[in-house]
Amino acid sequence: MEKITLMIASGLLGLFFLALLAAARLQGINVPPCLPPEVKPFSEGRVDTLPDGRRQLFYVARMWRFDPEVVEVPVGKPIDVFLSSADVTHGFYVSWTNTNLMAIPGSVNAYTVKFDKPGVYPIICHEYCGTAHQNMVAYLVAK
Amino acid sequence: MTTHRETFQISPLSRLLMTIEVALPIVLLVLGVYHGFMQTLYRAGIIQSSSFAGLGYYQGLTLHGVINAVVLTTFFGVAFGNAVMQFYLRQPLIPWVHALSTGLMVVGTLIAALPMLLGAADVLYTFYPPLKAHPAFYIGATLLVVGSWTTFFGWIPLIRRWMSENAGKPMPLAVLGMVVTFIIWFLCTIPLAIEVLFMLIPWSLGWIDAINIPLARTLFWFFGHPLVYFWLLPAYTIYYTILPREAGGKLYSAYAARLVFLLFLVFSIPVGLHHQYTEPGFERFWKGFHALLTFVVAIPSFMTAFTVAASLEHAGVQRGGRGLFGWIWKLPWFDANRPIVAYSLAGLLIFILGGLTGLVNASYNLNQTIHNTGFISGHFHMTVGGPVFLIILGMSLELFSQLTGKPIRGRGWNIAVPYLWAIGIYIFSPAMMIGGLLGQPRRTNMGLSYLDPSSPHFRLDWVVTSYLAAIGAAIMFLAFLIYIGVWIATIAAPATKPAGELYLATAEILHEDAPTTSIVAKLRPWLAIAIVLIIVSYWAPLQQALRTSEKAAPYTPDNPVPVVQVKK
Repeated sequence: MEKITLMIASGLLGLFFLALLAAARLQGINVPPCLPPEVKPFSEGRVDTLPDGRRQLFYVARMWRFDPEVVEVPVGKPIDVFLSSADVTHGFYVSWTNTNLMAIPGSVNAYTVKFDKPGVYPIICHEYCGTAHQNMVAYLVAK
Repeated sequence: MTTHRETFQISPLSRLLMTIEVALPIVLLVLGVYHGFMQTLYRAGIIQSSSFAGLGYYQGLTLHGVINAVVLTTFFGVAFGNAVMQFYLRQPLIPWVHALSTGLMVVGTLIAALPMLLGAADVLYTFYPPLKAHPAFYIGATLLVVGSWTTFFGWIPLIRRWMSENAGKPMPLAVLGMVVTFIIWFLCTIPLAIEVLFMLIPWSLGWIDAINIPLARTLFWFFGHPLVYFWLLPAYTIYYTILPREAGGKLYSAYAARLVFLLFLVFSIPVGLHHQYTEPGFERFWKGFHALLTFVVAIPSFMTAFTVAASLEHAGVQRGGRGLFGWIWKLPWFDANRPIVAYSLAGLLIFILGGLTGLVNASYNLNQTIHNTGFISGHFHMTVGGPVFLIILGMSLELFSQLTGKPIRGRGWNIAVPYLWAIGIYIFSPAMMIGGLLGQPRRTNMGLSYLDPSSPHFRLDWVVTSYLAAIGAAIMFLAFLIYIGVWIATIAAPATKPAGELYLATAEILHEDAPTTSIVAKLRPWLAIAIVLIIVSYWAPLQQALRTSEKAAPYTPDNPVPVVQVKK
């Protein structure tokens, strides 16, 4: 009885873990990657468009705003987000998406986001970063 | 295992020191719980201000985390451990070690409390650099931890003597539980000590300009997750030894209980990277490896759920319960003379959802939807704020009663506390978790922006969950006020029994205990596996953290200009 219960519980856990790996491998839902150490932190935000039209957003988080603050992006296209911190640790959560990142001083974080619906998506700083942390918001406008 | 029915009389010095260990955190808890409730009012926009009654939101949040999650739990682990060692080993503690350890913990707590109360340490209980607190905050916290180590070192000669005098007997189960608790605590606070002593203290004093932030965070989370088991294992010890007895039954399997403690020893530390899934700089393989081990460390908790439920079923059947579920209603849920049963059962009801949501957090890519949202706070209020907190409340009062010889007064009110708390939690935590799924950040004074209808950042979709969280918190706060009332009534009552007579109810065992030749009667092989697994799981992540090219200067939380400028 005990052994069967233990095996069922462990088996279920194993199944859940395989489901997570499958989502990572097959659907591309993953945690942020580890960029090579040659990728150095940047101190100014910017928006780049690659020759193939792919949009790349470079965000700098600083006490207590994101740079750039408002960016328009196309609906239905993958957009690369890169994130640096200019001072302390910040959070970066694009509402209603899986883009949920930490901005860690001394390193660059990265994720790819795609909007299926047009709209205004707030980017919330969700790591305490000092007195005015609650005012640290940026917006992505998907059109 | 022998069943101890006789009490153990402790020395007057030990009685005084243990009374301090039990009562001091309860006094501080008034401040800690008060601000827990206040935060929900700020977050719902009921208070739209950066401070209330002289305490800032983030200052109160720091007090809430440090007092409730660190000071209370450490003092309780030490006080309960001291009770277990003296009662089961039938030996007094070494007086000077006991005095030194309690002294260090009290002095450390006071030194750390001062900058927090003066607003010079608004860095929350995780004190993530580059935010910097006053050096006294780090120094006080260090003394608290060193004091708790001292307690543990003082137990070792007592245990050795007991083992040599009782050859052929396995270590009493409660002693094993508390020894494993403190081995985990000692191992996991070593990297914390490295972070604090070699990075944060010299940096906050201005002796070094800049530190490696990913390294500091990795050392912190090396400590931060095993901390959870330091909170939980004293509660598990009570679930395995006191609860079955008080509920009227026997422990279903001592073998399973021993195996559970040893599995925690092996698997509770090499899992810290699951707090760092959303950070750059670590290879995905190692995040996945820690995710896998986090799933493994869930197994001893599942085994505990099984064994405790089986023990309770046995108790309910002994009390006349029939059928598949009849035993549940026969348990002494509302027996005012056995308050620890009420505190334990209410804690278990909360822990069902607390444990399951913990698996969600551990789930690698699933964490992308909930990291740093209210989901996390909702979850851990159902673990550390659920069974752990309730067991600490119930057992602290019981220990205080034994240490002073005063009977608990307001016994009916006392058993209302855990159930009222559970009702509050079952409103508060789901509200926080649903809010988290809607994107509400944790640790944020939302009343100043997202919950202020006049702000451009106002979020209508967060209003309902924020208010529900405040309603749940109000019920929890009421439960705590009743608890404090029970304390005051108990203190005011005259002693009716000799002071300092320790008694820990101990369940008999339904199935036979393990022989000393069994693998679960040994500690060293498990400790060796634990150390190997720590090295395997942390070697590469630490190397990766060390590759960070730029170090960071300190900042105070109110100023975007660093305290010292660092040349890049």
